[in-house]
Amino acid sequence: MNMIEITKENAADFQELLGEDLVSDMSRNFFKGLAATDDGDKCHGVLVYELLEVDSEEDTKSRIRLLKGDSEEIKAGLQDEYRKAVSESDVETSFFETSEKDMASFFEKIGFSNATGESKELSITVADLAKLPVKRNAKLPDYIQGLTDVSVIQYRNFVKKTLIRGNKGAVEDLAYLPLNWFEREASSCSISDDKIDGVMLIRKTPSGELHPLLYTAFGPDFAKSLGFMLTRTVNYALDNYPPETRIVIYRHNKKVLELTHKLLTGHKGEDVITGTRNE
Amino acid sequence: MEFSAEMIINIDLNAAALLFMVGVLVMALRTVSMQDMRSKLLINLIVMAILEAVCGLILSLVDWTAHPDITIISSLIDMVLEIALNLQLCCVFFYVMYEVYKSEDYVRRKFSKFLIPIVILVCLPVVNLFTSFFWYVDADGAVQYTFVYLAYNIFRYLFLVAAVILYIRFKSREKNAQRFNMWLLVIPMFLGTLAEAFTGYGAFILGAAIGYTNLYMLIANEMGYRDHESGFYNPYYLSHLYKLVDNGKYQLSSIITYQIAEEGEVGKFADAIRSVLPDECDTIRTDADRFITVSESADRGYIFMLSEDVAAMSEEAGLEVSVESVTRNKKEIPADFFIDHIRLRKQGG
Repeated sequence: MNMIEITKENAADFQELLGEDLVSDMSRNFFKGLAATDDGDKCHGVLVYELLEVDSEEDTKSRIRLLKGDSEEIKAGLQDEYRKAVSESDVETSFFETSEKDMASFFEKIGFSNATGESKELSITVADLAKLPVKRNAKLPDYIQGLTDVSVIQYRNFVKKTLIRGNKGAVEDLAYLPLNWFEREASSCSISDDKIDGVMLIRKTPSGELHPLLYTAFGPDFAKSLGFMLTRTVNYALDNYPPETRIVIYRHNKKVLELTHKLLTGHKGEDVITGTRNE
Repeated sequence: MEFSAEMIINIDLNAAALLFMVGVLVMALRTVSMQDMRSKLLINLIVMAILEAVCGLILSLVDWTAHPDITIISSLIDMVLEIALNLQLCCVFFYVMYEVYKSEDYVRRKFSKFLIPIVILVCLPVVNLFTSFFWYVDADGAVQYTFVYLAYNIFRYLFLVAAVILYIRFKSREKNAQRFNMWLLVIPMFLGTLAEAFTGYGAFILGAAIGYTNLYMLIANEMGYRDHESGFYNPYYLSHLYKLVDNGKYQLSSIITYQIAEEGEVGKFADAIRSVLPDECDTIRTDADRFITVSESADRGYIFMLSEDVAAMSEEAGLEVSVESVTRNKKEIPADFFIDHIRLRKQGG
C-alpha cells in the first residue's frame, strides 16, 4: 500500500472518498490529506486533517476531518503516516469528532481519549432562519451592505485588523483566502470612515451548504452593527436560497455556542464521540 | 468714564482669554492639518471662545446704564455670548467623542441624534432676548436670574457631563490605549465655572481658554513625534514607545521592517503604503531609508498580509523595497525584544 499526500493538484482524483467540499478545501493552506493507494493507483483510504493555531503563538493542534479506509490495517497505516506528518508540523494535540461508534473504537485503540457529547457543528436549514428574532424587510442603515461593493484593499485591511485582535472565527487560514472565496452577496459588512469595521462572512460550499465563518464587529457601534448585519444576511438567505438549503455552523468557541443557544433555541448538535490525543 | 473694580476684573478676564485664544488660533492654523475632524472641532471651539471673549469685553467695557437707549445692543451681545458658550459645550462633547472613538462617521451619526438639543440650546438665548424668561438686566445694570435659569444651566452643562461620562467609560474599557487626556480640558473649565458661580465674575471663559490651549498643546506634542516627510512617526517616538514597552503598557510582539532602495523616494513610499497600514499599529521612520511597523500581535497571518501588501503597493509605485519581519518568542520580555531589534538597529544604522 502506498501512502501519498493529497494536494490541491490531485485532490479531484479522490473526490469519491473526499466529497466535493473537502476536495475544494484541499486547496487551503492548513488542510492536509493522505491517501492509501495500491500499485494500480486505486484508492483504499483517505485521511484529511486541518491544522489549527499555526499562525498564532498557541500550541498547534490538528483536527481530523475525515478518516476512511477499506480495512483497519489501511486506517492504521494512514494514522502512522499522519503521526509522522504532524510531528513535522509541531502539532501538540490531535482531536476528532464522529457519530460512528466503530470509528470511535478505532481511535481509542490508537491512543485517543474519547468522550461523548454534543457536536460542535450545528446544522439547520434556511427555513429555520424564519424563526430567528430578526425583522423581515427591515430598513437598514446605508453603512450596512454586502461584500460586493467593497474593494480588495478594504477587505484585506479588515482581515489584518481582525487578525491583530486575535479573532479569525472558524477560518484558520483567513489571511490567505481571497475575498471571492466567500459568498459576497450573502455576507454582510459594516463600513465606517470608508473602512470595514464589522463582517458576517458566509461561505457557500460546492455542495451548496452555507457556512457562517466569521461574525464580528468593532468600534463604538459594534453591537448595533452586529444586529444589522445578522438581519441583512438572514433576510438575504430567506429571499435567495431554497428553504431546504443546509446551514452548518461550527461552534468553535464558547461565544459562538452561547449565541447559537440564544438565537436557535431548541436546535442541538448531533450526539457524537469526541477524542483527543497528545502527539 | 470710571471703571468699577468689577468691570476691571471682567475686562481682565475676557482680555486674557481673548489673547490666549487668538495666539492659539494663529499657531493652530499654522501647524495642524485641517483635514481631520479633531482639528476642525478644535478650531470651532477656539473661534467660539474668541467670540464669547469679544462679547464679554464689549459688555464689560461699556457702562450700559449710562446709555439706556441702546440697552437692546447689550442684550443682543449678551445673546451672542450665550449662544457661543452653549455651542462650545456642545463642541466639547463631540470633540471628546471623536478623541475617544476616532471615527468621523460615528460622530456624524450621533450628531443627527443630538441636533434637536443643540438647536434648542441655540434658540433659548434668542427666546430670552424677547421674553427675559431666564435672565434680564435690571435698571442698575445688574444681571438678574429667574427661577428657570438653573434648569437652563443644567441643560447646557449636560453636554459637558456627558463628555466626562463618555471618557471615563472608555478609559475603563481601553486602559492603556488612549493618549488623549480629557482632564486637561475639563478641569480648567470646571474651575472657571466654579469661580464664576461664587464670585460673579466672568471666569468661565478664561478656564475654557486654558482648556483649549491644553488641547492644542496635546496635538502639538503629538506632532513633535511626526516625521514631516512621510507623516509617520519619527525616531523620537522610539523613546516614547520604549517607555510604554518597559512599563508593560505595550506588549511589543512583532516588527516589520521596510528598507527602501532610494532615500529620495521616502514621500512616494509613504503615500504608496499608507492605505494598507492597520490603524492598530505604529509605523516609524527609524532611518533615512528605513521604516518599521510595530504591533502587539505576533499573528503570522497578519504579518504575511501586511508584508505582501507593502511589497505590492511599492511595486505598483515603481519602488524597490525589501521587507523583513521578526516576532517575539512567547518567553522573551518585550523590552528585551525591543532593544535587540530596534535599539541596536538604530545605533548601527
